[in-house]
Amino acid sequence: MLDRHRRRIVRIVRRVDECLDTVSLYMHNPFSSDPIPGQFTMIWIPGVDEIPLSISYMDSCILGVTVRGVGEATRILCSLQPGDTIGVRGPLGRGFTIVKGRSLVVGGGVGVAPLRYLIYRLIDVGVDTYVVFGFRDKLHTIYLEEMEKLSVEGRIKLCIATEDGSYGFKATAYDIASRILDESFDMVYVCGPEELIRRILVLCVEKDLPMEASIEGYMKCGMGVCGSCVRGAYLVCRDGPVFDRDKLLEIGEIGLRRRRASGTIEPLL
Amino acid sequence: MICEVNLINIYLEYRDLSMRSLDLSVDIAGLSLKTPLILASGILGLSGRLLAKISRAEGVGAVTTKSIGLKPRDGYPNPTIILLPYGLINSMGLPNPGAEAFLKELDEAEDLSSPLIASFYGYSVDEIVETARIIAKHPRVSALELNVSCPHVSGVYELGFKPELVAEAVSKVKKIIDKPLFVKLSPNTHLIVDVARAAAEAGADGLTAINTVKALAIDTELFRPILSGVYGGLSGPALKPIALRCVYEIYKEVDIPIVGCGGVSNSLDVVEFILAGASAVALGSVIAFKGVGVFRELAEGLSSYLERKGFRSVREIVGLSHR
Repeated sequence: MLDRHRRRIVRIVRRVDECLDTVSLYMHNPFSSDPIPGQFTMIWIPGVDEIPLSISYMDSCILGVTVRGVGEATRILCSLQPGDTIGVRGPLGRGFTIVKGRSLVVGGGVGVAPLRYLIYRLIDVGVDTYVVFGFRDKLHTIYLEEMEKLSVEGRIKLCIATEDGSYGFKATAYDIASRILDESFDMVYVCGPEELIRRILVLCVEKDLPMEASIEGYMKCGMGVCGSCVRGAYLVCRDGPVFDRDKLLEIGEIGLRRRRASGTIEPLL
Repeated sequence: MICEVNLINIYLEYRDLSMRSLDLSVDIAGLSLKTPLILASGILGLSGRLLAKISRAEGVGAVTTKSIGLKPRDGYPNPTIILLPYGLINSMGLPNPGAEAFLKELDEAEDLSSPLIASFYGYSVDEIVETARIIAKHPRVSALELNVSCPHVSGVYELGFKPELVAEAVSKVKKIIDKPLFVKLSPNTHLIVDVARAAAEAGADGLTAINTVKALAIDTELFRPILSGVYGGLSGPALKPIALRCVYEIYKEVDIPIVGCGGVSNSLDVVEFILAGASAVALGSVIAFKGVGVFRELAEGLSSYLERKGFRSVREIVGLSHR
């Protein structure tokens, strides 16, 4: 535990602009243990903030995260260049369970970040992987070329949807997923807007399919003591960020409400 | 052979009986607790649902909420915590949704099965009184704990150094609430016993000793303090001998019950605090290392200790080291 929570100062070695407002940052792997897809890191931007980001890429020497610039900390992260330094701790939390057979991976927006690392793991263990990614429009698509390449190579079945139809199907990730999803799937993985997670959850309950989703909480300590990231009666940092279907149901508030920094509850609908 | 089996049976029966008659329950400042183990303030105590879940866990005697103020407070930006081999330094900065919103949170604490102690703070005596007035009225609040000792929020931190201010706050709060009031004391002053005495004389029902010790950590690569709030509070094993000394000193001088708090990580730590004079013991940082299951582990350890030493209840050993 001591090791996972030590802030290691690392240098960024590469940045890739994924789209208008989203950047992938790559750094030397500071972890002493191999992360499970779905686990996250706390990224410290000295003098600004420390924020949770899921692991979007991992090999023996490189760690990658993908961040969308929405607030002060994420915008500054998006502006970093190779050579800049940040602090990293992790890998933290509970990741996805790899289940053999056939899996459906559903992602929306920057929520596709942890799914990218998951997809590579699924391919590695020979899972028959269907991928459905949804984005606002073509300008906001992420990992597109990479996923198309995997699809052309026959390693995944891919469906891309945009809300305005500027790329792929004119639909939402939910629309596509709900058409594909049947009893032949052994696991459904979801990450993205909570509205998407909530609707897929309802679908998986109806069809009695196993499902796991990565959710967010307002993260502060990242080690299960401060209680800031609580959802329902679970801690996102320690019990999550990946929860199974039954826990998601128990939490109940997915897509309905969330907490701010003060712990104040804010309705989402 | 038959004889041997009988002996084993007699032994098992005796052991069962002695375990059953072992009494971990304690009465402290009018609260009846199943065990002397309390969830310390600041740990997980933000959500009503989570507090209720912890209150149902085995070994838990009571739960304490995060410190609640009159108005919502975001706390500091991250980093707000540092993990060290000997404890934690935190500088959360008292994040809380404010007193009124917290009442709704407590509405969600269904199936609460242990007493709930509401921790609260204020920047002035007036604010302390107003906050107490709001949170004390909730039926799920069994007792209040006045935090005058948070080492990373100035204004709240300094209150705990001034016996006369603490006395004023305590007597004014006691006038408007009909529930037990604890005062959580600061170790960051040589006046801790004076503050404790002042609180007791002003009508406090119990004392919690101690809050965290003001501390600092610097990143040697970046040449800067790590915590965004610069200073934090040290908790965990490093704090235990200091906390124990404070409990011991206060027990000698002040007559109201004490909740020992600071760096407990095993059941003998719990025993030490009780021997020093604590009637109950609060757990905090250890939950980062062991999770909520630690309550059960420590309750069982405390039982074994009492049994091994031939005691039948926790009450028999409170302050026993002062002979």
